[in-house]
Amino acid sequence: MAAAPKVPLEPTFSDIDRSVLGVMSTPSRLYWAWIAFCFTLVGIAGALWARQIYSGLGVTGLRQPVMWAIYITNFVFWVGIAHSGTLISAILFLFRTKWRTAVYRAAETMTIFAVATAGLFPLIHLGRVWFFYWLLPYPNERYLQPDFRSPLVWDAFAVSTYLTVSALFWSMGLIPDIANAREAAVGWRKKIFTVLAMGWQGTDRQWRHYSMIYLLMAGLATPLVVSVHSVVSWDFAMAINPGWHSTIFAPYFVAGAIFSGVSMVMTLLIPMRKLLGIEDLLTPWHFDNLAKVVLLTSLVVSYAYVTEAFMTWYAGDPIEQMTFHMRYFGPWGWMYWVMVLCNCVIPLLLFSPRIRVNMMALWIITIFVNIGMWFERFVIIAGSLTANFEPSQWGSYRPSITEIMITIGSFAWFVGLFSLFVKFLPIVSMTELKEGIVWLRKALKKGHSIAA
Amino acid sequence: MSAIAIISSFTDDADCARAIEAIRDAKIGELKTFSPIPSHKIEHAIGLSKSPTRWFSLTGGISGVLTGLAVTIGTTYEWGLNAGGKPLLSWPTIGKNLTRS
Repeated sequence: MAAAPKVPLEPTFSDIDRSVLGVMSTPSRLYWAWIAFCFTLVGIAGALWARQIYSGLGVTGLRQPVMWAIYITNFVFWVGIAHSGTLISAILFLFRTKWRTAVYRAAETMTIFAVATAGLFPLIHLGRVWFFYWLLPYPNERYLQPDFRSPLVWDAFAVSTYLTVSALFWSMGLIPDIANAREAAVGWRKKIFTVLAMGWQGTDRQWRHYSMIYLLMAGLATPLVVSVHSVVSWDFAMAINPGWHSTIFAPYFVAGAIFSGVSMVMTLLIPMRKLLGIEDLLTPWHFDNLAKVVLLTSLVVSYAYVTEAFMTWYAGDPIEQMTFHMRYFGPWGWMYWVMVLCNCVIPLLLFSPRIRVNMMALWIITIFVNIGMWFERFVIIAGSLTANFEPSQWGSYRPSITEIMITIGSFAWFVGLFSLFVKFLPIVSMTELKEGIVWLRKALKKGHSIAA
Repeated sequence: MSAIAIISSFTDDADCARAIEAIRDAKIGELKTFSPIPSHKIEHAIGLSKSPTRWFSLTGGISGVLTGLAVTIGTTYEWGLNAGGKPLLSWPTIGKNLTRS
């Protein structure tokens, strides 16, 4: 385990303000070029989506029987990415984990943008997207309402609840920091921050309400970490389709979500700390702890793969066994083994304490995990649809340029939004870091060692 | 009423809380603190009474649950689609599973 960050000179509150607000300085040309690059890709994806809306889903590779493929894979993948933010900000907050303070804002921000990305995919997947509001109950003259026994309706509610709660949690946590940024800002930024800070002064009454609501929101968000991806998994598990109809799907998906989410946090933070020069705030100690979460969830996911195989064999359903045989050794078998390599084998390197503090190694490992988790979703969703009960229903799937570009566009959209956030709002919580200093001083006073 | 402002810095919130208590005991008037971080010790030192905000939260929570139930149950009865022969309002079966052994 890496040592807790050594603080040779005790940082002061103004040091923290300086380094966090320093990140929000005027961006360079290279930064704008990067933003332009990301949003160009988003524009191309948008144009292809427009064409798909105009000509219909025929421009995609979706054919019977594989009607759920890359779009739904992306949806599940991005909802999964969204999970680490709430895990780090809510669950680790309730457990009073010390290392979360420096990373939680970035993780929460990632959650918001990942849910925003995920939320687009059910819409992109719709043939007649202009009727998307049929998913929601609203008064209408035909007394027609969504079926609350359908997992797809649960999904619409779960994802929109998650977006609402995480956006509230995030924007509320930002208030004291925005007020802090307001004091330092000038010009139009100052005006915007003044509105966003909602009159924050840091009085005892404001802090009391802030602490209370933060605790309550953490309590409300915690069950969502478990429930949202469980509901997403039931989109599949509630169907009788072989390869989907399984009772372990909910915990299996939640573990995978935390696994991929924490990996994505690391994939984003490792280059970010370097580029923004905040290596003093995000230390190897933080990454060491994040890597342990990745390692743990990797083992849970590996266990789920083994359990899934065992249950299929032990249950003795020949159709199910055939589906799994196809999954392992069929035409798409390579995807399964890529997934096993990326999700089960490569993360085992994290058992080494030296690798857990080696930023380059961590970055490469987490990218492999992201790839592996994307393939996991694809193998489960599209792979299970290729071979169904009747051989006459068997088929295959080949993505068209529309789906490929929209997938790339979704990554660009996510990374672009995140890059915009980094420069315009405080990416590390100044308030919590300052609380951390007070905690550190107390610990030093008592003569405790600061290995948390 | 005139206001007095005191600016001081402390190494930790316990010292600050002690100073606040000293001022409070001097009975100068109503106290208000501004601090860069939240602290329960400062909060206790000021001695605030319970905030009425919690009643708004409670009302919001209860009305939210009731609205959620009303929408689900109401729309289910409005459309009345029979799925799988189950009653329209089929509660989760946790209770039944516990009693029926």
